[in-house]
Amino acid sequence: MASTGQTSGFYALRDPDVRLMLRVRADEPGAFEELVARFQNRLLAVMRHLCGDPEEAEDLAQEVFLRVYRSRKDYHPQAKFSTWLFTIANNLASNSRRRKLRKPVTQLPLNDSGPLGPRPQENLLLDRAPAPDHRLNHDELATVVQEALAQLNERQRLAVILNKFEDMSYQEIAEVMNISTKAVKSLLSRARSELRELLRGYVEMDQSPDSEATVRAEKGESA
Amino acid sequence: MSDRDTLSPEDREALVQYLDGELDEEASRIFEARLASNPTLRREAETLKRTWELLDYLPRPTASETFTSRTLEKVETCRIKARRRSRVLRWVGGAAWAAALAAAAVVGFLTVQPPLPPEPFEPTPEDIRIYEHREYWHYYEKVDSLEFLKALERERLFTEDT
Repeated sequence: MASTGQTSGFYALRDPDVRLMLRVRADEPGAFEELVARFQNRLLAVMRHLCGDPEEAEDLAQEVFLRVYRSRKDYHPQAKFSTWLFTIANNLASNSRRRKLRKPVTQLPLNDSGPLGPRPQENLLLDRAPAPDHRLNHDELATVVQEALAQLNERQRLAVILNKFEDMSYQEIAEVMNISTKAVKSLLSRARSELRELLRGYVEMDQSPDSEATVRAEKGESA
Repeated sequence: MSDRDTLSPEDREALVQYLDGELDEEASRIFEARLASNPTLRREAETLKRTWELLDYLPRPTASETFTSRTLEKVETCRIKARRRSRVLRWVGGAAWAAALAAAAVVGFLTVQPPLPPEPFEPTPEDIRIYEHREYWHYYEKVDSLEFLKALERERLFTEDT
């Protein structure tokens, strides 16, 4: 018990998000609103990449916050707050996926012609091997990368998102996904290899990306 | 054979770990030495790094303007429901206590209540007849059997003029 107390104290001192959550636990006015404002975009980004549908992503993100609120009195910091938050998010997304599998929706094959067929950028990706013969603009490249990410399996996708955008260590990803760090290592290695294959033709094109992306990439590199 | 074929899955895992900053200091030093001496590994590292950087093009969705207010509304609804539920639970709990107390009172009352008085003795006509013939009671002392006396009575041995 003493060690739990020490762990809680350690994370409370180190992680400002833990301190905010402790204020939520104490029912401090405005604390929960601050928490929602601080995490909504990050949570939404993860949910959007996990489930694809923007509306469903918002619903799930709301449900995550609701669960955080409901279980606030049982909150005892054992790790970074974001690890706890994304663990809840992953559980909810998994449940939603399972519900969808139980009630499958029939989809028309995407490679058919017609209004449901692939959009031009998706065709570029489906070709895979050769690089496009024209330089893609930022939005086109964004779509291609998004489609490539969507082709990874859900576990790989989550590991990639948490690693890339949440800057989570393998240990933290393992906690969120309830798997071993060895499994995370293997997931990320395979995911990166697959992405490399899917985006092979576009890597060369990205010599001088738009300024925004360059800045982000540099930030990522320095981190 | 392509460059890719010359790297083992372990090499790839180690490379990804290195790029993610997951190798400790000693392992990083060893891996950097390998990178310096192996152009295939270096090329692979560069490709993986640039692929990873492409993810920066991914759109960063932002919550709709009403997201915070809708979320807080949901939380408020949840809070009201919880309060209502706790009030109902308190009421149900109180009612259960009251019912339990009432049951205990009934059980207690039944337990300590004095026994009911015995039913008043209703002699049969035969008994009355035997009673009326008090002078023959001493026979009862002799025979010590009411049944026998009753049999005598049935034989009309105890008539008015006996």
